[in-house]
Amino acid sequence: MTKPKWRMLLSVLAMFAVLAIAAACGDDDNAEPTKAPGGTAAAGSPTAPAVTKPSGTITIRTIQFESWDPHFADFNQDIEHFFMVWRGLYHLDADSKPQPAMAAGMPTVSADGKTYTVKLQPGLKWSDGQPLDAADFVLGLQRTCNPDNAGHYQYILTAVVGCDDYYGAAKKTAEEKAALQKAVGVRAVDATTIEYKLTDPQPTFTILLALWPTFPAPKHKATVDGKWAGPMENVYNGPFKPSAYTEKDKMELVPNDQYAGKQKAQVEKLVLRYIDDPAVALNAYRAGEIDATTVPSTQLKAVKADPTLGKELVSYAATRTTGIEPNLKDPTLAKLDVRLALSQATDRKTLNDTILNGANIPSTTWMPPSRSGTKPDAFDAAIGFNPTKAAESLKRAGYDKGAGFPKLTVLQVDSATNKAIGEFLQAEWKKYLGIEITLEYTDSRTRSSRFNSGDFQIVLGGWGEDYPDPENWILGLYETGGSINKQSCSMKAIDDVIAKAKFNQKDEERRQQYRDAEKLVVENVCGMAPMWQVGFHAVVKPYIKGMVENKKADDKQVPGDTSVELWTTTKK
Amino acid sequence: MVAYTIRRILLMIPLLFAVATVTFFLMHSVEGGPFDTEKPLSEAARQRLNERYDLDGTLLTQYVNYLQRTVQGDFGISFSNDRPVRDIIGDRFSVSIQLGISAFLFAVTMGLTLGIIAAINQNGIGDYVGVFIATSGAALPSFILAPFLVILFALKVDWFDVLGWELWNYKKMVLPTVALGMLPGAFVARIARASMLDILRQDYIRTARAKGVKETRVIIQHAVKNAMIPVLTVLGPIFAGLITGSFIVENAFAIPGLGNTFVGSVLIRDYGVIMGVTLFYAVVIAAMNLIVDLLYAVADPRIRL
Amino acid sequence: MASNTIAQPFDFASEELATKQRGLWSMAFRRLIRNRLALVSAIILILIASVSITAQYVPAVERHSAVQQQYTNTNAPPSAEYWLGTDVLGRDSWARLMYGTLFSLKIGLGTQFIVLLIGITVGMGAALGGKVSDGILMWITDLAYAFPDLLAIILFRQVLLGREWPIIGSGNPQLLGFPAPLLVTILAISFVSWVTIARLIRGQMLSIKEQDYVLAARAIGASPWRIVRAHMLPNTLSTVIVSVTFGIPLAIFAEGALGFIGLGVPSPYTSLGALMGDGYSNLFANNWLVVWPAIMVAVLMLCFTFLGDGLRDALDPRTRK
Repeated sequence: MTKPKWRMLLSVLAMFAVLAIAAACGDDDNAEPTKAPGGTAAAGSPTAPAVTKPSGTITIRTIQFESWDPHFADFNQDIEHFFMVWRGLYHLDADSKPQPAMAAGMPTVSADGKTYTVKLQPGLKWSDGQPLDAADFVLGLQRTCNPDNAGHYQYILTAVVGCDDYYGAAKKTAEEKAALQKAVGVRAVDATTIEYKLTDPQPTFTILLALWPTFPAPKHKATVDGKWAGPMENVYNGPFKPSAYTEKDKMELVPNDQYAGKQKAQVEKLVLRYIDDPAVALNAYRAGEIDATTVPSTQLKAVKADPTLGKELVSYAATRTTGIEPNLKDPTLAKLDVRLALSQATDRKTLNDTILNGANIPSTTWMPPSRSGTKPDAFDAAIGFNPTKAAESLKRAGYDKGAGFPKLTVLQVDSATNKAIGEFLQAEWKKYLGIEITLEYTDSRTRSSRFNSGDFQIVLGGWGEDYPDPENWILGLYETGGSINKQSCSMKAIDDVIAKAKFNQKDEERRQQYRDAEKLVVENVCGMAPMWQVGFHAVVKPYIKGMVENKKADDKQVPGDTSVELWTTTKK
Repeated sequence: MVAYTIRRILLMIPLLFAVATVTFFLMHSVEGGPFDTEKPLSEAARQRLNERYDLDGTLLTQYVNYLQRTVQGDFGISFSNDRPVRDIIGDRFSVSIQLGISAFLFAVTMGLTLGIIAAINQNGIGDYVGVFIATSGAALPSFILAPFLVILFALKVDWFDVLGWELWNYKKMVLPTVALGMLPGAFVARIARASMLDILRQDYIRTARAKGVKETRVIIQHAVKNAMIPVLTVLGPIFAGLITGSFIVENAFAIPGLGNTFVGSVLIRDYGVIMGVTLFYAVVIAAMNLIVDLLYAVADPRIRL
Repeated sequence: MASNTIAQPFDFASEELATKQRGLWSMAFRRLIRNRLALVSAIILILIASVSITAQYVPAVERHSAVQQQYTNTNAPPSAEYWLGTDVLGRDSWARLMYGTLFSLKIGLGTQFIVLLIGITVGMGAALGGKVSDGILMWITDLAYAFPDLLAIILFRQVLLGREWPIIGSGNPQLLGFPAPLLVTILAISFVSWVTIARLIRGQMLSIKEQDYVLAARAIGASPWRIVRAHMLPNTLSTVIVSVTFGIPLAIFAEGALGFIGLGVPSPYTSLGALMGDGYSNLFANNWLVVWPAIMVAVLMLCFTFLGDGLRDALDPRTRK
């Protein structure tokens, strides 16, 4: 049975077919741009807010939320959803300043700064027509403090009288819990007046009243420790409400006609398409199936080079900082000079330009400039890239040219980009310091578990802001025994300045104190050698207005997604 | 045969018990728990959550509690979204089974057609074309094949959609079906070809031909029927594999299926979902094996059960 | 069957065991050589393997270091200097492809080696060990089959990687050419993929056990071990070899899929799967990165498939015309 040449020829052809497919995908540099329906012609027409009838559909990419309960959840995409369908007493504007939303005006603060009184707008209603009053706001805050609900964000409410006590009462009896619930420092003075009692004067409390842990809970639907109704069963007080929902697939939202805000929703339908893989989402955007999505750093160069996508790209700094986090409990890393050497041997600019396609803003500061007003290169002299200084630092630590340097492992979440970053640091630190490091990659839960239990030497990681204030970048993170101080940073000077700043009512002085704390943390590499401020990159179709215009440093998945009522589309 | 079936079904019970036990203890021995999120939780919050989801006892108490609940048909709730695991599996499986059946039909049709044509034209043009299509289809893993299909057929030419799955909407059905069904299709083609060649050389086929039975009749009535037996053995596992969902294909087209859910639950340590899906998989696979064995007995009278 | 065969006489020497066996092998080899597609595939595979091995030791074949990073020459297209271009860190794609290929080949071969060990032991034990042993082993097989692969793999990584075990952990000694992360990947994939071959071998052995020549051998009092060695193992060989040749590329695919969901081999090691993963995340930005490993995987898959087909045809006397 000799197999004729035919079969061989065809098999070779099969290989060529594979090659051809590969090459067809490969030669994409001058691909014709995908036709953007509608084009840019109609884009200029200004829409007069508030009077226009809602029209059109906007589809954005996001990720499936984990929890629908604003008094429990903590994921970025969950919070994005909450701001579409619920609103608190206040709402943060494009400058991250609280503006009245459900409240009639700014709060009245007592002289000692410990009592906040807020007046509601009259006649508020939930989306089912039921009245929304002060009791709903009381219930909302109580739910976040409730021990059985176990809200992730309870920690930002520790200044509220009795919230910590209630939260810690899981093992107590129902009567004791009920008593503790009553003791939480929030009460309805009358149907439209809410009073908050604080243990200490917290200067940022008004901001917290704009965030999801203080959102109202419908008393006719929810109880303090009961199950929170799902998207289709719940009631809403935000600009939109869900009209259809399939888990992991999509959610459709329509305007909520009971919404009390001045600016009503301006699109007939908002579709949230759940897509895990950002590369898949970008392809869907190219094909015109979604109108806005984030751009992963690996795709940034290709998107910039594309004649159409390049114009639709919007880039800005997010409130997220990434850096090298050394564990100060490790005997090697306990030496300041070792920490300095590692930071000084890290060429942030080259790393960002080559591996991350310039996606981020190289930085030696910890707080984003929008919060501290400090330039990103402020601490370059102390910890910035400088091979000579790095070598000297290591010599001072007793490991001249890396001689006798102990085993050092860098722990990261496994991903193509993180691998490249790890390999970069491995090569660079060997080059400038003569040390060999080991790279370890795990899935994200393992990494978090190791980090949280202090079982690591160095991790690459950082912090994303919860609320727009400098204190959110320092409190709990760098004081001795801080609840999220997993790198075990402990310096008296830092503790002192944080203690002064915490309840300081003088805003400018308070901000300066946090800046001082930041300087101490960074210059002592006390658990953090910042590498970059994370950049936010998204593409938005030109027929969408109000997204890019209202972008904020703390946008969740697409630009302007905490103020969806400002979005409009001219696409039919 | 009825007795055999009952015996096999009864044997599934200790098997499921063993799967549940092994999964339970292995799952808990993996580092990282469901609440090890990127932002560290306060110790108090973690304790609350452990209590809420019955994770605060010893592993053994948790195990006993789990078994008790499972026997009562309660698979628990998902940590990540608080829904009953049974509902989650139901939702996702209803998508995966559509995609799976579609891919299965594609794989079987493609595989049998190519395999049989290749075999009856051995070393002829049909053979080469069949082998060519089958091998080139199987040459790329699905995580490369799927994006290639998207780029070629949804972006370069706008024939199909990038996202989603929708029954009877060809724009959303074709690419996921091909991406999922290509490799098993190629596999079926190879088995069918080999099996057909084997059968065509058997004496009874020669006898039939010698008796002057028409060639098409020989092929269809005698050869194909008998050649199906080896094919049948592989179809069971293929079917089970396809309907339980593929993470890669579901991820590539953003389809809310079971494969995606399972990988996600393992990565975020959603214990309830892991246990539920594992048991569900075990039932599906065991049932598939049983059905194949029964079909086998029907197709081949020599086999007695 | 071509007419000018000189091996004909051996074909009928089946009464004499020794002669038959040699005849089987030499016949098979001759048939394989005449199957040009299988032959070409085998040659290509040997070529790929030897080039990728040589690249580890001979700088002229490696051309550029696979680990040397050049930040001024990243994502370069193919050129005379860098045959396949460079990657995101400016490393030579040719050298990395060779490293990745060797790593993946080791995964493929290593996996099949362990799969065979387990498969033959379990399959034989079930077929020949009596009813109880059959029941227990097949039950374990069912259990392994019903157990989700991914969970098992995560667990293996968790238990083995990063701990100071000898050979399979970070401890000493290490197996030369098979560093711990590679072994862990091999073990993880094999432990979830031995089921098929165990079933196959059991089935084959059960049917051979009832064949006339085995019954005859038993009747004349041949020792059980001799029957297994002389009759049963050789006759399951074609099944085994075919399964192994297809298993190699499937294991390479499996490793690729693991890398794709973030459970692949850790740096600085690289595999075809890891290279494809890199390429996928840089799709549109630098498409060459995905093209080269994809072509390599496709070539390996096709060659192993054709070789497997050829081997089966060669080893199975019935497939001759």
